[in-house]
Amino acid sequence: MTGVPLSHFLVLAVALFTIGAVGVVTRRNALVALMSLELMLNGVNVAFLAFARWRGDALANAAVFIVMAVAAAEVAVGLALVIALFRHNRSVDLDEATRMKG
Amino acid sequence: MGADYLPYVAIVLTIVLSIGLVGVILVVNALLGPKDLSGAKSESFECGNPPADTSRKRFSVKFYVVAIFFVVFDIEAVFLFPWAVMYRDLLKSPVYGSIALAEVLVFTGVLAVGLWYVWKKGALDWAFDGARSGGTDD
Amino acid sequence: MMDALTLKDALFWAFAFLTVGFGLMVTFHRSLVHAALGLMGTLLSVACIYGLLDADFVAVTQIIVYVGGVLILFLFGVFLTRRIDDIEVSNLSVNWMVAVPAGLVLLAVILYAVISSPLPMAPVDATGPTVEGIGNEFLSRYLLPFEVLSVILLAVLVGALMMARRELKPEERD
Repeated sequence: MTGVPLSHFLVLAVALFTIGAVGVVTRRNALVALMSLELMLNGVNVAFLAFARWRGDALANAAVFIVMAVAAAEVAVGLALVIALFRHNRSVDLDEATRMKG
Repeated sequence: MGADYLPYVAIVLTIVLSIGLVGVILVVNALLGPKDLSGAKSESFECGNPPADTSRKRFSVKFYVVAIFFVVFDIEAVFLFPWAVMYRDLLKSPVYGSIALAEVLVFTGVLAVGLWYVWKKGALDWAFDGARSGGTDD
Repeated sequence: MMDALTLKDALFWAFAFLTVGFGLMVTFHRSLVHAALGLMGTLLSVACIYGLLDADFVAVTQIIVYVGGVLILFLFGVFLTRRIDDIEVSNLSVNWMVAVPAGLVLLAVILYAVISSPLPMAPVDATGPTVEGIGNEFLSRYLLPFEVLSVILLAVLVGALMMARRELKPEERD
Protein backbone atom coordinates (compact mmCIF):
# COMPACT_ATOMS: atom_id res chain seq x y z
CA MET A 1 0.00 0.00 0.00
CA THR A 2 2.99 2.31 -0.27
CA GLY A 3 2.38 2.71 -3.98
CA VAL A 4 -0.27 5.42 -4.28
CA PRO A 5 0.24 8.47 -2.04
CA LEU A 6 -2.54 9.89 0.08
CA SER A 7 -2.74 13.06 -2.02
CA HIS A 8 -3.86 11.04 -5.07
CA PHE A 9 -6.86 9.71 -3.20
CA LEU A 10 -7.65 13.19 -1.91
CA VAL A 11 -7.47 14.66 -5.41
CA LEU A 12 -9.85 11.95 -6.61
CA ALA A 13 -12.20 12.76 -3.73
CA VAL A 14 -12.08 16.49 -4.53
CA ALA A 15 -12.71 15.84 -8.22
CA LEU A 16 -15.75 13.70 -7.43
CA PHE A 17 -17.05 16.30 -4.99
CA THR A 18 -16.64 19.11 -7.52
CA ILE A 19 -18.35 17.20 -10.31
CA GLY A 20 -21.25 16.56 -7.97
CA ALA A 21 -21.40 20.19 -6.88
CA VAL A 22 -21.47 21.43 -10.47
CA GLY A 23 -24.21 18.89 -11.21
CA VAL A 24 -26.34 20.01 -8.28
CA VAL A 25 -26.05 23.63 -9.36
CA THR A 26 -26.57 23.24 -13.09
CA ARG A 27 -29.08 20.47 -13.59
CA ARG A 28 -32.66 21.56 -13.26
CA ASN A 29 -33.94 18.01 -13.21
CA ALA A 30 -34.56 17.02 -9.59
CA LEU A 31 -33.48 13.42 -10.23
CA VAL A 32 -30.08 14.39 -11.62
CA ALA A 33 -29.63 16.89 -8.80
CA LEU A 34 -30.13 14.01 -6.34
CA MET A 35 -27.70 11.82 -8.28
CA SER A 36 -25.09 14.59 -8.19
CA LEU A 37 -25.65 14.86 -4.45
CA GLU A 38 -24.74 11.18 -4.23
CA LEU A 39 -21.53 11.94 -6.14
CA MET A 40 -20.62 14.60 -3.57
CA LEU A 41 -21.28 12.19 -0.70
CA ASN A 42 -19.15 9.54 -2.37
CA GLY A 43 -16.31 12.02 -2.77
CA VAL A 44 -16.44 12.81 0.93
CA ASN A 45 -16.50 9.10 1.75
CA VAL A 46 -13.38 8.51 -0.34
CA ALA A 47 -11.57 11.26 1.57
CA PHE A 48 -12.78 9.78 4.89
CA LEU A 49 -11.51 6.32 4.05
CA ALA A 50 -8.21 7.61 2.65
CA PHE A 51 -7.47 9.43 5.89
CA ALA A 52 -8.62 6.36 7.84
CA ARG A 53 -6.18 4.19 5.89
CA TRP A 54 -3.29 6.52 6.63
CA ARG A 55 -4.15 6.86 10.31
CA GLY A 56 -5.32 3.30 10.99
CA ASP A 57 -8.63 4.32 12.55
CA ALA A 58 -11.85 2.29 12.52
CA LEU A 59 -13.90 5.33 13.49
CA ALA A 60 -13.90 6.69 9.95
CA ASN A 61 -15.16 3.38 8.58
CA ALA A 62 -18.10 3.55 10.99
CA ALA A 63 -18.70 7.18 9.98
CA VAL A 64 -18.76 6.22 6.31
CA PHE A 65 -21.26 3.51 7.18
CA ILE A 66 -23.57 6.05 8.77
CA VAL A 67 -23.13 8.45 5.85
CA MET A 68 -24.16 5.67 3.45
CA ALA A 69 -27.23 4.73 5.45
CA VAL A 70 -28.38 8.32 5.83
CA ALA A 71 -27.74 8.94 2.12
CA ALA A 72 -29.90 5.94 1.23
CA ALA A 73 -32.67 7.19 3.50
CA GLU A 74 -32.36 10.66 1.98
CA VAL A 75 -32.63 9.26 -1.54
CA ALA A 76 -35.68 7.16 -0.63
CA VAL A 77 -37.61 10.10 0.81
CA GLY A 78 -36.22 12.61 -1.69
CA LEU A 79 -37.29 10.51 -4.66
CA ALA A 80 -40.70 9.99 -3.10
CA LEU A 81 -41.00 13.78 -2.94
CA VAL A 82 -39.83 14.10 -6.55
CA ILE A 83 -42.47 11.61 -7.63
CA ALA A 84 -45.12 13.49 -5.67
CA LEU A 85 -43.91 16.71 -7.31
CA PHE A 86 -44.19 15.09 -10.72
CA ARG A 87 -47.73 13.92 -10.03
CA HIS A 88 -48.63 17.41 -8.97
CA ASN A 89 -46.81 19.54 -11.55
CA ARG A 90 -46.29 17.06 -14.40
CA SER A 91 -42.65 18.13 -14.27
CA VAL A 92 -39.52 17.43 -12.25
CA ASP A 93 -37.96 20.77 -13.11
CA LEU A 94 -36.69 22.36 -9.93
CA ASP A 95 -37.28 25.87 -11.25
CA GLU A 96 -40.94 25.15 -11.73
CA ALA A 97 -41.35 23.89 -8.16
CA THR A 98 -41.91 27.34 -6.77
CA ARG A 99 -45.30 26.90 -5.16
CA MET A 100 -45.54 24.66 -2.15
CA LYS A 101 -49.26 25.05 -1.57
CA GLY A 102 -51.71 23.03 -3.59
CA MET B 1 4.41 -7.49 1.52
CA GLY B 2 3.74 -9.09 -1.81
CA ALA B 3 1.41 -11.65 -0.31
CA ASP B 4 -1.46 -9.28 0.52
CA TYR B 5 -1.95 -8.51 -3.14
CA LEU B 6 -2.94 -12.08 -3.89
CA PRO B 7 -6.66 -11.60 -3.07
CA TYR B 8 -6.80 -8.61 -5.42
CA VAL B 9 -5.13 -10.63 -8.15
CA ALA B 10 -7.84 -13.25 -7.70
CA ILE B 11 -10.57 -10.60 -7.93
CA VAL B 12 -9.04 -9.04 -11.03
CA LEU B 13 -8.72 -12.49 -12.60
CA THR B 14 -12.37 -13.21 -11.83
CA ILE B 15 -13.45 -9.93 -13.41
CA VAL B 16 -11.29 -10.46 -16.48
CA LEU B 17 -12.48 -14.04 -16.88
CA SER B 18 -16.16 -13.19 -16.53
CA ILE B 19 -15.97 -10.25 -18.93
CA GLY B 20 -13.90 -12.37 -21.30
CA LEU B 21 -16.38 -15.24 -21.17
CA VAL B 22 -19.28 -12.93 -22.00
CA GLY B 23 -17.24 -11.37 -24.78
CA VAL B 24 -16.34 -14.74 -26.25
CA ILE B 25 -19.96 -15.88 -26.15
CA LEU B 26 -21.12 -12.69 -27.86
CA VAL B 27 -18.43 -12.87 -30.54
CA VAL B 28 -19.01 -16.57 -31.26
CA ASN B 29 -22.74 -15.93 -31.39
CA ALA B 30 -22.28 -13.06 -33.81
CA LEU B 31 -19.98 -15.15 -36.00
CA LEU B 32 -21.82 -18.46 -36.03
CA GLY B 33 -25.47 -17.66 -35.29
CA PRO B 34 -27.92 -17.41 -38.20
CA LYS B 35 -29.29 -13.92 -38.77
CA ASP B 36 -32.90 -13.61 -39.83
CA LEU B 37 -34.42 -10.38 -38.54
CA SER B 38 -37.82 -10.71 -40.16
CA GLY B 39 -41.38 -10.75 -38.94
CA ALA B 40 -42.03 -12.07 -35.51
CA LYS B 41 -38.37 -12.53 -34.70
CA SER B 42 -37.73 -8.83 -34.42
CA GLU B 43 -40.51 -8.30 -31.90
CA SER B 44 -39.65 -8.33 -28.22
CA PHE B 45 -40.05 -11.70 -26.56
CA GLU B 46 -42.60 -11.96 -23.76
CA CYS B 47 -42.75 -15.67 -22.97
CA GLY B 48 -44.16 -16.35 -26.40
CA ASN B 49 -47.18 -14.07 -26.12
CA PRO B 50 -47.54 -11.09 -28.40
CA PRO B 51 -46.31 -7.96 -26.55
CA ALA B 52 -49.15 -6.49 -24.52
CA ASP B 53 -48.11 -2.86 -24.64
CA THR B 54 -45.22 -0.49 -25.19
CA SER B 55 -42.38 -0.70 -22.70
CA ARG B 56 -42.13 3.07 -22.36
CA LYS B 57 -45.00 3.46 -19.91
CA ARG B 58 -44.69 4.75 -16.41
CA PHE B 59 -44.68 2.20 -13.62
CA SER B 60 -47.05 1.99 -10.70
CA VAL B 61 -45.96 3.66 -7.48
CA LYS B 62 -46.35 0.30 -5.73
CA PHE B 63 -43.02 -0.84 -7.17
CA TYR B 64 -41.34 2.19 -5.68
CA VAL B 65 -42.82 1.54 -2.24
CA VAL B 66 -41.58 -2.05 -2.30
CA ALA B 67 -38.15 -0.79 -3.39
CA ILE B 68 -38.06 1.57 -0.40
CA PHE B 69 -38.94 -1.29 1.96
CA PHE B 70 -36.14 -3.30 0.39
CA VAL B 71 -33.58 -0.52 0.88
CA VAL B 72 -34.58 0.04 4.50
CA PHE B 73 -34.28 -3.59 5.50
CA ASP B 74 -31.15 -3.93 3.37
CA ILE B 75 -29.49 -1.25 5.50
CA GLU B 76 -30.71 -2.96 8.65
CA ALA B 77 -29.14 -6.24 7.56
CA VAL B 78 -25.85 -4.55 6.67
CA PHE B 79 -25.69 -2.93 10.10
CA LEU B 80 -26.24 -6.27 11.80
CA PHE B 81 -23.10 -7.75 10.23
CA PRO B 82 -20.49 -5.81 12.28
CA TRP B 83 -22.51 -6.46 15.41
CA ALA B 84 -22.69 -10.18 14.68
CA VAL B 85 -18.92 -10.36 14.18
CA MET B 86 -18.31 -8.66 17.51
CA TYR B 87 -20.96 -10.58 19.43
CA ARG B 88 -19.09 -13.87 19.67
CA ASP B 89 -16.20 -12.16 21.45
CA LEU B 90 -18.45 -10.10 23.66
CA LEU B 91 -20.35 -13.20 24.80
CA LYS B 92 -17.30 -14.29 26.78
CA SER B 93 -18.17 -11.67 29.35
CA PRO B 94 -21.81 -11.88 30.52
CA VAL B 95 -22.05 -8.13 31.15
CA TYR B 96 -20.79 -6.98 27.78
CA GLY B 97 -22.69 -9.75 26.04
CA SER B 98 -26.04 -8.72 27.45
CA ILE B 99 -25.32 -5.02 26.82
CA ALA B 100 -24.53 -5.76 23.18
CA LEU B 101 -27.68 -7.87 22.89
CA ALA B 102 -29.78 -5.06 24.40
CA GLU B 103 -28.27 -2.51 22.02
CA VAL B 104 -29.07 -4.51 18.95
CA LEU B 105 -32.51 -5.41 20.27
CA VAL B 106 -33.32 -1.71 20.51
CA PHE B 107 -32.11 -1.24 16.92
CA THR B 108 -34.12 -4.11 15.48
CA GLY B 109 -37.04 -3.32 17.79
CA VAL B 110 -37.51 0.16 16.35
CA LEU B 111 -37.44 -1.31 12.84
CA ALA B 112 -39.83 -4.06 13.91
CA VAL B 113 -42.27 -1.31 14.88
CA GLY B 114 -41.87 0.03 11.35
CA LEU B 115 -42.50 -3.39 9.87
CA TRP B 116 -45.57 -3.80 12.07
CA TYR B 117 -46.81 -0.39 10.91
CA VAL B 118 -46.49 -1.09 7.18
CA TRP B 119 -47.99 -4.55 7.70
CA LYS B 120 -50.92 -3.09 9.61
CA LYS B 121 -51.49 -0.51 6.88
CA GLY B 122 -51.64 -3.33 4.36
CA ALA B 123 -48.66 -2.08 2.35
CA LEU B 124 -47.24 -5.58 2.11
CA ASP B 125 -50.29 -6.80 0.21
CA TRP B 126 -49.54 -6.32 -3.44
CA ALA B 127 -52.93 -4.89 -4.37
CA PHE B 128 -53.25 -2.84 -1.21
CA ASP B 129 -54.76 0.36 -2.44
CA GLY B 130 -56.90 -1.26 -5.03
CA ALA B 131 -58.75 -3.24 -2.38
CA ARG B 132 -58.73 -0.61 0.29
CA SER B 133 -59.37 2.82 -1.12
CA GLY B 134 -60.58 1.91 -4.56
CA GLY B 135 -63.98 0.89 -3.20
CA THR B 136 -65.90 3.17 -0.93
CA ASP B 137 -63.80 5.80 0.76
CA ASP B 138 -62.99 8.14 -2.10
CA MET C 1 7.20 -6.87 -5.24
CA MET C 2 7.72 -4.16 -7.83
CA ASP C 3 5.23 -5.90 -10.05
CA ALA C 4 2.65 -5.94 -7.28
CA LEU C 5 3.19 -2.24 -6.61
CA THR C 6 2.72 -1.28 -10.22
CA LEU C 7 -0.37 -3.50 -10.33
CA LYS C 8 -1.86 -1.53 -7.46
CA ASP C 9 -0.88 1.76 -9.11
CA ALA C 10 -2.48 0.68 -12.35
CA LEU C 11 -5.65 -0.36 -10.52
CA PHE C 12 -5.82 3.01 -8.78
CA TRP C 13 -5.43 4.96 -12.00
CA ALA C 14 -7.93 2.79 -13.84
CA PHE C 15 -10.59 3.11 -11.16
CA ALA C 16 -9.87 6.83 -10.65
CA PHE C 17 -10.42 7.54 -14.35
CA LEU C 18 -13.52 5.35 -14.39
CA THR C 19 -14.88 7.18 -11.35
CA VAL C 20 -14.33 10.63 -12.81
CA GLY C 21 -15.51 9.64 -16.27
CA PHE C 22 -18.76 8.11 -15.04
CA GLY C 23 -19.20 11.08 -12.71
CA LEU C 24 -18.96 13.45 -15.66
CA MET C 25 -21.53 11.25 -17.41
CA VAL C 26 -23.94 11.72 -14.50
CA THR C 27 -23.50 15.46 -14.54
CA PHE C 28 -23.38 16.22 -18.24
CA HIS C 29 -25.24 13.50 -20.15
CA ARG C 30 -28.60 14.67 -21.42
CA SER C 31 -30.44 11.39 -21.05
CA LEU C 32 -31.73 10.50 -17.60
CA VAL C 33 -31.20 6.78 -18.08
CA HIS C 34 -27.61 7.37 -19.09
CA ALA C 35 -27.11 9.54 -16.02
CA ALA C 36 -28.42 6.69 -13.85
CA LEU C 37 -26.09 4.21 -15.57
CA GLY C 38 -23.22 6.64 -15.07
CA LEU C 39 -24.10 6.75 -11.40
CA MET C 40 -23.89 2.96 -11.30
CA GLY C 41 -20.44 3.09 -12.90
CA THR C 42 -19.28 5.71 -10.41
CA LEU C 43 -20.58 3.76 -7.43
CA LEU C 44 -18.93 0.54 -8.59
CA SER C 45 -15.60 2.27 -9.28
CA VAL C 46 -15.73 3.99 -5.90
CA ALA C 47 -16.35 0.58 -4.33
CA CYS C 48 -13.15 -0.62 -6.01
CA ILE C 49 -11.30 2.46 -4.67
CA TYR C 50 -12.55 1.49 -1.20
CA GLY C 51 -11.12 -1.95 -1.83
CA LEU C 52 -7.76 -0.39 -2.70
CA LEU C 53 -7.95 1.51 0.60
CA ASP C 54 -8.31 -1.83 2.43
CA ALA C 55 -11.81 -0.88 3.59
CA ASP C 56 -13.18 -4.27 2.61
CA PHE C 57 -16.46 -4.20 4.47
CA VAL C 58 -17.31 -0.67 3.40
CA ALA C 59 -16.64 -1.66 -0.20
CA VAL C 60 -19.08 -4.56 0.05
CA THR C 61 -21.61 -2.32 1.76
CA GLN C 62 -21.24 0.22 -1.02
CA ILE C 63 -22.24 -2.45 -3.51
CA ILE C 64 -25.07 -3.85 -1.38
CA VAL C 65 -26.63 -0.55 -0.31
CA TYR C 66 -25.78 1.81 -3.15
CA VAL C 67 -25.69 -0.36 -6.24
CA GLY C 68 -28.29 -2.83 -5.00
CA GLY C 69 -30.63 -0.36 -3.33
CA VAL C 70 -30.16 3.32 -4.05
CA LEU C 71 -29.59 2.80 -7.75
CA ILE C 72 -32.79 0.77 -8.02
CA LEU C 73 -34.62 3.65 -6.36
CA PHE C 74 -33.13 6.04 -8.91
CA LEU C 75 -34.16 3.85 -11.82
CA PHE C 76 -37.69 3.63 -10.44
CA GLY C 77 -37.62 7.39 -10.05
CA VAL C 78 -36.59 7.78 -13.68
CA PHE C 79 -39.27 5.43 -14.94
CA LEU C 80 -41.94 6.88 -12.69
CA THR C 81 -41.44 10.48 -13.66
CA ARG C 82 -40.71 10.58 -17.33
CA ARG C 83 -43.19 11.80 -19.85
CA ILE C 84 -43.13 9.49 -22.75
CA ASP C 85 -40.69 11.04 -25.18
CA ASP C 86 -39.36 14.25 -23.74
CA ILE C 87 -36.73 12.99 -21.33
CA GLU C 88 -34.23 15.31 -22.86
CA VAL C 89 -36.36 18.41 -22.60
CA SER C 90 -36.87 17.93 -18.88
CA ASN C 91 -33.17 17.31 -18.50
CA LEU C 92 -31.81 20.57 -19.86
CA SER C 93 -29.05 22.12 -17.85
CA VAL C 94 -29.02 25.87 -17.53
CA ASN C 95 -26.43 28.42 -16.41
CA TRP C 96 -23.51 26.05 -16.82
CA MET C 97 -21.53 28.94 -18.24
CA VAL C 98 -21.34 30.24 -14.67
CA ALA C 99 -21.37 26.94 -12.81
CA VAL C 100 -18.49 25.21 -14.56
CA PRO C 101 -15.97 28.05 -13.94
CA ALA C 102 -17.28 28.28 -10.37
CA GLY C 103 -16.75 24.53 -9.99
CA LEU C 104 -13.21 24.87 -11.32
CA VAL C 105 -12.53 27.61 -8.77
CA LEU C 106 -13.90 25.34 -6.03
CA LEU C 107 -11.68 22.54 -7.28
CA ALA C 108 -8.63 24.83 -7.30
CA VAL C 109 -9.29 26.10 -3.78
CA ILE C 110 -9.71 22.63 -2.26
CA LEU C 111 -6.75 21.30 -4.21
CA TYR C 112 -4.64 24.18 -2.91
CA ALA C 113 -5.74 23.29 0.61
CA VAL C 114 -4.81 19.63 0.00
CA ILE C 115 -1.42 20.47 -1.46
CA SER C 116 -0.43 23.05 1.11
CA SER C 117 -1.38 21.02 4.17
CA PRO C 118 1.05 18.53 5.72
CA LEU C 119 -0.07 15.03 4.85
CA PRO C 120 1.25 11.84 6.45
CA MET C 121 3.57 10.17 3.98
CA ALA C 122 3.28 6.46 4.72
CA PRO C 123 0.09 4.63 5.66
CA VAL C 124 -0.03 2.48 8.75
CA ASP C 125 0.34 -1.25 8.22
CA ALA C 126 -2.77 -3.00 7.06
CA THR C 127 -4.71 -4.35 10.02
CA GLY C 128 -6.69 -7.02 8.22
CA PRO C 129 -10.49 -7.15 8.08
CA THR C 130 -12.20 -3.97 9.25
CA VAL C 131 -15.53 -5.52 10.28
CA GLU C 132 -14.60 -5.93 13.93
CA GLY C 133 -13.44 -2.34 14.26
CA ILE C 134 -16.70 -1.08 12.80
CA GLY C 135 -18.74 -3.32 15.10
CA ASN C 136 -16.70 -2.13 18.06
CA GLU C 137 -17.38 1.51 17.23
CA PHE C 138 -21.10 0.91 16.82
CA LEU C 139 -21.35 -0.85 20.18
CA SER C 140 -19.35 1.75 22.09
CA ARG C 141 -18.50 5.21 20.81
CA TYR C 142 -21.02 5.36 17.97
CA LEU C 143 -23.89 3.75 19.87
CA LEU C 144 -26.14 6.81 19.71
CA PRO C 145 -25.84 7.30 15.91
CA PHE C 146 -26.44 3.56 15.53
CA GLU C 147 -29.70 3.71 17.46
CA VAL C 148 -30.79 7.03 15.95
CA LEU C 149 -30.28 5.49 12.54
CA SER C 150 -33.01 2.95 13.25
CA VAL C 151 -35.36 5.84 13.98
CA ILE C 152 -34.38 7.45 10.66
CA LEU C 153 -35.16 4.20 8.85
CA LEU C 154 -38.50 4.03 10.67
CA ALA C 155 -39.23 7.56 9.46
CA VAL C 156 -38.39 6.48 5.90
CA LEU C 157 -40.86 3.58 6.16
CA VAL C 158 -43.66 5.79 7.43
CA GLY C 159 -42.88 8.57 4.96
CA ALA C 160 -42.80 6.21 2.00
CA LEU C 161 -46.16 4.80 2.99
CA MET C 162 -47.70 8.26 3.35
CA MET C 163 -46.44 9.21 -0.13
CA ALA C 164 -47.73 6.04 -1.69
CA ARG C 165 -51.17 6.18 -0.16
CA ARG C 166 -51.65 9.75 -1.28
CA GLU C 167 -50.23 9.18 -4.71
CA LEU C 168 -52.11 6.05 -5.63
CA LYS C 169 -55.51 7.66 -5.68
CA PRO C 170 -54.98 10.08 -8.60
CA GLU C 171 -53.41 7.24 -10.52
CA GLU C 172 -56.53 5.14 -10.29
CA ARG C 173 -58.51 7.85 -11.99
CA ASP C 174 -56.52 7.88 -15.23
